[in-house]
Amino acid sequence: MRARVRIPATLYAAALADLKRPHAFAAERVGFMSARVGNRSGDPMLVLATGYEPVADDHYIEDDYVGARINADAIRANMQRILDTGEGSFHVHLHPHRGAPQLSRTDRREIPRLVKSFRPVGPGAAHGIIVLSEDRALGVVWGPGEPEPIEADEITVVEWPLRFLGGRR
Amino acid sequence: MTTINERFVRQSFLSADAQPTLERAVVGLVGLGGGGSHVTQQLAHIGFLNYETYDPDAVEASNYNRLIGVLDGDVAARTSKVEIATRVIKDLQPDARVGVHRRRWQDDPGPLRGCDLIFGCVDTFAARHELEVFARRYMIPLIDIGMDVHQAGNEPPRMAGQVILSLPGGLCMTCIGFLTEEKLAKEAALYGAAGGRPQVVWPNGVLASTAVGIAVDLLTNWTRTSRDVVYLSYNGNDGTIRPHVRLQFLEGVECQHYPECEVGDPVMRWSSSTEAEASVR
Amino acid sequence: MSFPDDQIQELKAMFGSVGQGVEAGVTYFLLPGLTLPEGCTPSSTDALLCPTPRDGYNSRLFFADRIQSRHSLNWNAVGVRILEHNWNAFSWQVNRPGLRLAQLVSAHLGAL
Repeated sequence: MRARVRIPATLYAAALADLKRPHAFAAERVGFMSARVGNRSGDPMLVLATGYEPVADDHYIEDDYVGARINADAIRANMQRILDTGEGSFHVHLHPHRGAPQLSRTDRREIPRLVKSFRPVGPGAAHGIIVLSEDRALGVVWGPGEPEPIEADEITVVEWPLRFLGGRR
Repeated sequence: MTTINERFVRQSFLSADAQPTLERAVVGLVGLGGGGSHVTQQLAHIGFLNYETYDPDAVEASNYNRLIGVLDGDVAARTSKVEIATRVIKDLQPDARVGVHRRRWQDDPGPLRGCDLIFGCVDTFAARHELEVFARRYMIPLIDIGMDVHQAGNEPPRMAGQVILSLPGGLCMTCIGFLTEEKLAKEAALYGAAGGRPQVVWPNGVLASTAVGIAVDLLTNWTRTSRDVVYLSYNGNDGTIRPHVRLQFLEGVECQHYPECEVGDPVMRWSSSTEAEASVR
Repeated sequence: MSFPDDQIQELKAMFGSVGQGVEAGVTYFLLPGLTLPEGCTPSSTDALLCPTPRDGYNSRLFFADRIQSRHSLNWNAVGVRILEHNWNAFSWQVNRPGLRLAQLVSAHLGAL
């Protein structure tokens, strides 16, 4: 099975603008992109972004060993949003370089735990992580009910011009 | 034998990234008649490699005056329009992947959802509306083309057409006044009585070429002009194609018909038989 | 467009569960497994009510199937895609303004 992520231009711009803002102590910022599923029983599954929520400044924990650590309030607020809307949630952050971003060791360890906490409140939705760079992106998607994640085939910003940010395709 | 790079050297002005972008894009083609067959041929020449083609019909004798790729004998052989399109593509791009759907897209929409871009080359306002609703739901840019010929009294026939880009987040066909409830109602009243509409090859060529140019620009940004709506009006009597006058009055207008949050598989709100509060299922 | 909750409750009281969906700004009501009048084949099917003007009709009732009934019907909407399903409707104009949602459904069913 394949997954494709589509992001409206306005959301992409909002996410980038937020993630580029400096924080008092965190080296990176984090946000959550909400998304609906399309073509859920087909191939590719579509992840269609519908909103972006920054993590509040006071929801970060100071930690010199990682780029950003967010607290339980941030997670709870996001879980509430999932519950209220039925939409999935994708952890989003930015690597400040050009070219294809990669998951860090922290991402590989922490994101499955995060998704595990999202799934009970949003079982019909897709959840995961999107890592942006200046010009590319990486998406890892846990589809509804799927035991294993898949790397997004393509991440597209829907605007003029269409921007293909990368993926396995 | 020519190499692939050599084939496209004359379009290298599009940019260094252009050819890989065009080759990886998945294009949906809905309607493979006079307009759609022109589009198909041009896309194949340019080097697009991934297609999902939809048309339920076999070619008829009346298609010969305009259906690109039709050959003598296709009517007798009852060749379908999707087969003709596939033949045109494969004759130019043997490695192209062509999804062949000899049916209405509504009866097999899955592959169309995976497209990066859809060309709508359909016959009716209702068909355009349905396709646009679908394209907006799955965040897919839709390029629509169509033409018609009207005759009033003793006046010469008036030939007109349109090329419209409906870009998610931008103005839709209802915003620009192309689709109206009045047109849809009038068309519904004529259901079954319309008969064969006048159709000829050269306006289809103009409209298809224009549409393909828009698609290539949308994908490669070679003109570096940003647009969130395209509505071009074709006058077949004087051979001109120009932005529709209505666009001048739509600056600053935002589409209210397709909120960006209403995407994805539909969500029904259910009223249970015992509770007053609706729950999302 | 929103509809009064009492009319929606009335729909579900008369016809069982009711789903509400919005597409391109139009609200539709889904009536799964709607029982059809006697003499119809099938005897029940999913139905979708569009209570607002569409295609030149003041309202329309779409069905998952093309129904055989005692009356000859002009099925002028066939395989129309709404809310990611295909629907069918016969030509029937309900010209009585002010009908409640449940009354609209009955008015359309009366043609079968």
